[in-house]
Amino acid sequence: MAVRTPVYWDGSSIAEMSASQITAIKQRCVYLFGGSGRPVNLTYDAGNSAVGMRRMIDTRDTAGAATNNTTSFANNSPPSTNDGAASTTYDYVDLSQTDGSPTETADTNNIAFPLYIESTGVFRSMTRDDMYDTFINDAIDLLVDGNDRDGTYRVSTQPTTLANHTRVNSNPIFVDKRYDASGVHGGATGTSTQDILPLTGGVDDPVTITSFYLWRTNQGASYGTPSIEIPLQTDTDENLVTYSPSEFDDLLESLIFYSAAFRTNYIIHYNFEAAGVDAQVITDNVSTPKQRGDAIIDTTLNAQVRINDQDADNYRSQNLPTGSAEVETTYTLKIYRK
Amino acid sequence: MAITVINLSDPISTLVTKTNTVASDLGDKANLSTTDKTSLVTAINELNSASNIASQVETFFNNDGVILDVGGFHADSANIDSAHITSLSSDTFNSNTINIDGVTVSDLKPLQIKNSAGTVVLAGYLLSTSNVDGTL
Repeated sequence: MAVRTPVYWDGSSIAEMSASQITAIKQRCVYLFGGSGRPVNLTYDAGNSAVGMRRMIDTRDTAGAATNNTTSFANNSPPSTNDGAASTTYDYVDLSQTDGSPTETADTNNIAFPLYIESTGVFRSMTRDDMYDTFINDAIDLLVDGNDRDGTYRVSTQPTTLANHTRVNSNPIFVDKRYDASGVHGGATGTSTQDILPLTGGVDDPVTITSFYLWRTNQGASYGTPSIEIPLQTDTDENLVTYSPSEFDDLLESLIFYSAAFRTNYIIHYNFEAAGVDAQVITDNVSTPKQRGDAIIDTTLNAQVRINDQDADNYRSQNLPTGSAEVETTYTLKIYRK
Repeated sequence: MAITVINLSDPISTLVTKTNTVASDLGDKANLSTTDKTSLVTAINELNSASNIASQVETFFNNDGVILDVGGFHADSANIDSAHITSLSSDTFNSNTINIDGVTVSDLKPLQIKNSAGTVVLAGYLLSTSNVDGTL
């Protein structure tokens, strides 16, 4: 089990692959992961309890209870608004880990994998662990490095178009809403008298601030379609032969799919990490979780305003949310190895 | 056959007989198959030239079916158009002067192929294009 240097036929001789040629094969693995058969996927599934993923909560401030009397506003002492009292749970993202039930390529006859030079004049077939050490482990690390890698998922506030990405679903996975201060009371920040009480929209009268969507990075987004040198293998007649391009692609794909789904410490995983009121730290990772896309921010308002409203001898007063955005929780979709 | 010797004491008749014997032993130079029949000396000299001997040997072995079958053979150098050698060995085999498809036999290198378990599945030699150790 070690990193090997495979050999290939360069057109006139057998040559060891250069570091850049090996890197190209790792990038080819990333490209293959972008194909439709990848085992690790995030899907939009509203109301399915966020399988494998933590839920998110959008919180909103609500208006305080209304008070009234028959003589004057001064006699009212309306209670404060309620910080984050209303909420909507977003458990719309499911993680599937083993789509297609990938299997690990067998080392049939102990000659399934490429040849390398063991010592002068001695060619030896790589083991499957050699393949992991030489190509697959590094390819997995590329996939979880936080950049837009083929076949991985990210969050964006873009609703319809995001270059090099395909939207998973037209519905958002999270909507940050706040009390509609502008719509209800014009964004008043000081005590004012307005003919809006009793409230027609109730104490929780939200407006959408930002919607967040799930996107998948397209195949070829990272490195285009990497062209690679195909290594040599030996066959059962002890010939030195070059894999066909499709054979070698199938071999790489099998190993990276299996690794991403099942191989301990190289399983590709996603989850939402959160900082703030609804804090959550990822703990099952073996690599540093990397953020994928825009942070999902749950905001509320940071102040309240007293509204007075006189109808005949009925003096109503109520505190309503107002002010500017206040971050309650910041959620981030993260990708990592476990 | 004894050598004919004329003694001082031989009578004339014996001298005649022995002289005829000598003449008979030498033969008739007109019957020489050489080009030059002037004398036995010139005829022998004609046969003794290297080019003539080489020509005669080449003519002989150019006939189909004629095989040189010898118990031993030594040559400082040779140029053979084609040959089948059943067994070839040498204490001083000079691999640097033997070429196969333009590659000298000195570039013959051991070659093995092992499977991933380390078992040798092929062991032999590779005629390399390089005489550098470690370079195929």
